Amino acid sequence: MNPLDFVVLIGSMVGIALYGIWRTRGHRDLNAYLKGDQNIGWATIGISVMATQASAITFISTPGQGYQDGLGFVQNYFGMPLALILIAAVFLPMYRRLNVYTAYEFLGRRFDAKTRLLGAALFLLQRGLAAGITIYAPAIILSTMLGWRLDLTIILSGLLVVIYTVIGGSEAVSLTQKYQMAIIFGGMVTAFIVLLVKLPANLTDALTVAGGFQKLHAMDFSFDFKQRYTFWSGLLGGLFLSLSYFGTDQSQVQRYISGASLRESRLGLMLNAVLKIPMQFFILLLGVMVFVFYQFEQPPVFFNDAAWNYAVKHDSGAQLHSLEQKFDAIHVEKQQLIHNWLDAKHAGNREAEAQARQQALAANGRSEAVRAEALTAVLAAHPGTKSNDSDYVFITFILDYLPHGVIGLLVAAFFAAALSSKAAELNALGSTTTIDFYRHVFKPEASDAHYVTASKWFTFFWGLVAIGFALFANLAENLIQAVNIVGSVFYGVVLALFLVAFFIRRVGGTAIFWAALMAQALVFALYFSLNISYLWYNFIGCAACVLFSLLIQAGLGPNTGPAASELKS
Amino acid sequence: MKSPPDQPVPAPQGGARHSVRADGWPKENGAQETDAPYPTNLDELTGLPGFGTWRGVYVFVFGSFILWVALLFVLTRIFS
Repeated sequence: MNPLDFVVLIGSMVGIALYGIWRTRGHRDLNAYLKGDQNIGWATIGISVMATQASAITFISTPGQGYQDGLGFVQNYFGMPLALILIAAVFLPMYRRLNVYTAYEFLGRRFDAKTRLLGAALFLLQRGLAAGITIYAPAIILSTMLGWRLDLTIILSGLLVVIYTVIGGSEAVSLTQKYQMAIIFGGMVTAFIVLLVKLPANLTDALTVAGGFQKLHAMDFSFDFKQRYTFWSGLLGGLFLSLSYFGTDQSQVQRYISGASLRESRLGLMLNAVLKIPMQFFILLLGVMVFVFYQFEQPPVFFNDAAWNYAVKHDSGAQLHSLEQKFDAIHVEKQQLIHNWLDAKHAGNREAEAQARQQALAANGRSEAVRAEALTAVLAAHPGTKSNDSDYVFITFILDYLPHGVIGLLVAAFFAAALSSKAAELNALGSTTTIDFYRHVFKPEASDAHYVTASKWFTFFWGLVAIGFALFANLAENLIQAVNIVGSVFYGVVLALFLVAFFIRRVGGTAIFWAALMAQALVFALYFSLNISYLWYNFIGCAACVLFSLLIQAGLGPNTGPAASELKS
Repeated sequence: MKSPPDQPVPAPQGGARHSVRADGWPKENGAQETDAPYPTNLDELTGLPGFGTWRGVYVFVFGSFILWVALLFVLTRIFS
């Protein structure tokens, strides 16, 4: 990065943060601080919901996913439009009618105080643990590639987001997310255009090459449970996960209940329902085009440059140089085969085209085998290295091939994504701690100004927790997976609390509370005794909680509490 | 022992019954029939050209999802 890149990066990040602080200065009442005075339009809400979900990892790793596995990952988002329709039609009107600050207030109204506290506690535990990851994950990649100090990257980016989130509250989060998303989209579209311009092949040939290497295989209708991405797992699993995340996670609920009206909130959600699949498709296609680009240009054997250099300097130098030469030779051969393939296609010679394609695929298989050997050697020299270097593909392309200024814009886009999702998380953690615990349990009768001050302190506290967690994250092995496991262990039960609240009126507070505890205990027991994919615990926790609640309620007799539809603000 | 709800929940009034459908959910577009405090008549209108009701908006969103699935299917078939 040169000075121009730093001007673009620092100017855009600090400028947006200052704008957010300036626009929201002087907010004193709780509604304005936690819900932006409910004057936010649908476009801002829609972008805010999108920005909260899309972290920096989305924009750094997803192109790498496209590079490695093609478009199949887009199927993971197939359940999301259906979930958002359900949330807009059922969840959202209820949250707005009850005029709640947090989703867990609804549980208190529908069930009782203890169920509300249980839901809020599960959220704080899960989201609080995940908070550090949102800063740590992009910081580790960016600091590795840019040669920055990891601790300073974490502290500076963390403090920036803490400052404007604490000062400006929910409205500052939504406002800054709007401009951060503009930076992100601007950066990604610019990268795509530059990539297309630099491609030695035209778009049709590029798609032909991508298709030939199975990178455009977007749909898989098989019922093979071992396949990671299929239409069915995306539709059903995606529906389930999206309902949990968008419907019950305060970091999302807080975004869309801030709408100026039910209409604005609904349209914001529908904007996401329409745009999310094409957006993910575009990001994955960007990765696929980077793959095609590297069929014509020489790629590195291993994209994590820092880990490679470390291994070269420590014992594995001779072996890695030998592998590099082998890889380069195969690449030259593969390039020629791809040219033969496209020439045969242009000439209409199908037989020669098929033959050259098969030979290119075989060469690709050999180069992947060399990459696997290189990975083994790097891991032997540096055991802490991530085994998958696809996260580094897009940033390598950016640093090696994009012009200065655009590099700064793309790095700014990654930081913007990190800050936007982090801000929403901190905002939600501060709100839930203030509303569901501090005001509800400890100090029910204080002034608005008091709660605003308390909310600021709690947000600041969670910001420090997130920064501290990110700083010490490298002490834990495979932390991202660990946090995902924690999420899956709790998400099922939280979703069940809300599903029962909305759809099973016969179940009351006592039944669902004990059912949730039993289901959570069951999930813990299964987690420590079974060896199944952690994603299954979402389903198991939810199903067990619903079933237990029905059984307990049957034992307790008819529920005399209110149904969701009978609640009033 | 059952904990009380967070705030007293008034028993459903006669008027409140007008705001819910037979299946117990708030009416989508029955603005004149609702007495819930937050929705106004404008809230219930979509305000979008060509979409009088939210049901139409949801059908459009679902249709766009189906369209994307179809396009991705075609892309897979053409280039695989």
